[in-house]
Amino acid sequence: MAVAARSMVEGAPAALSVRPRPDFVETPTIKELTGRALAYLAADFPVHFRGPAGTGKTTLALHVAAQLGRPVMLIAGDEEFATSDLIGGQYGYRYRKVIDQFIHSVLKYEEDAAQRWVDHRLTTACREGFTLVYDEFTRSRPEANNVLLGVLEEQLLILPTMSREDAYVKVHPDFRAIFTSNPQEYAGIHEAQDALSDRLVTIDLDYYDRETEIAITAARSGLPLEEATRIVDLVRDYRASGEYDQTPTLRSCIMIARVSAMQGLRPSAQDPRFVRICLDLLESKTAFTSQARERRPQQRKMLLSLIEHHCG
Amino acid sequence: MKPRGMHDIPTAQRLLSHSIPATRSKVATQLARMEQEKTRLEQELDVWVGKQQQTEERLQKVRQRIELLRRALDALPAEEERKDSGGQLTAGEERKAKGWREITLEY
Repeated sequence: MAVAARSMVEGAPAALSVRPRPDFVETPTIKELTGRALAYLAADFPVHFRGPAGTGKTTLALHVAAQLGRPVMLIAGDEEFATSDLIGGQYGYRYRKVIDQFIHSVLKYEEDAAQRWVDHRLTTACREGFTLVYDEFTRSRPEANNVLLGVLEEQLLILPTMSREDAYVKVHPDFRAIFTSNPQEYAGIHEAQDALSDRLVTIDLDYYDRETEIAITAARSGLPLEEATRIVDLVRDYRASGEYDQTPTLRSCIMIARVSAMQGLRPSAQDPRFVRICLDLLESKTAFTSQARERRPQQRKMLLSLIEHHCG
Repeated sequence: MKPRGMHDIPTAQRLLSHSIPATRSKVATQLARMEQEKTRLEQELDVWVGKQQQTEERLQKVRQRIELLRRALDALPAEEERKDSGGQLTAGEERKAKGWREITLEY
């Protein structure tokens, strides 16, 4: 969950400067994970955060990148990605026209057009020594990521030959790469090729511990710690029940807490508006199928009893 | 005058052109041509004098600019000295210098 943007030089290539939001919470768990990742990066190994949705992979990747103090190139994996989307390609033409009249009575006229090479983010990061954050890299097809193999192992970016004079880019010593991905059973995910996975230090992330979730929910919503605790416990119990198709995550906690705070509601089972918000956000975690619809009354009953238990 | 070389020996053509024409009409014709040539040369001289003034003014300005730049050069330390004295560019300055557009991303 990142917020964004201010520019300084119009029309120039962009580099991200990442920094924590004022309400960013660094609990011991986050500190420990950050420290581990930085140790691997310091030894020049790329880090890969792998975990289900809502476990804070992207935020953690950006937090680690911020600690490196270098500009960040952020890429989001996509099914449509090709290698050229990572490294760049021939886009447009450079047109040159020379009219030479050094001797006034002699007109010398030259004209040519050459294809123009444009660096994309991976090439820029490699050249300038920026930190590459490749979010959800397994959403890209494996062959699109092949170019990373040489970058991560031989520290050499191989550009298509015949395209420009420097067909090989020596990777800048400050270049670091951080990857994130969902586990393989998630929708829209490709399997990462073994060669790439083998080059990454993978840190598996699970849902945060209770204290971290409470601290983040309170910080992001502005609710007092005690009220945030009730919401987090409610969502965590629902998560433990397994009665859903899509896992309720920390995002659900933050959503319930923030909307409640903005509406001036206290997390209470006696407040129908609060109950409505909980049902809206948690009931939708069940698929909208005829089979699931039959389960809805039971699921609602369970949710209401959970709300009663934690916010009664 | 005693001739000193071939150039000083008047040709028949020169004797003819330097001599005063015998008839009134020829004198009048040559006089008119000479008046015209005189006007043309006077105009050409004006252009040259004007051009000389312009060039002198420009030269004066260039001399002043050279003097100014020399003084500025003496006042500034060399690039190497600036780096040695801890004047290394920060990451932000480096990006600015390279023309990077910085976008702040808060997470």
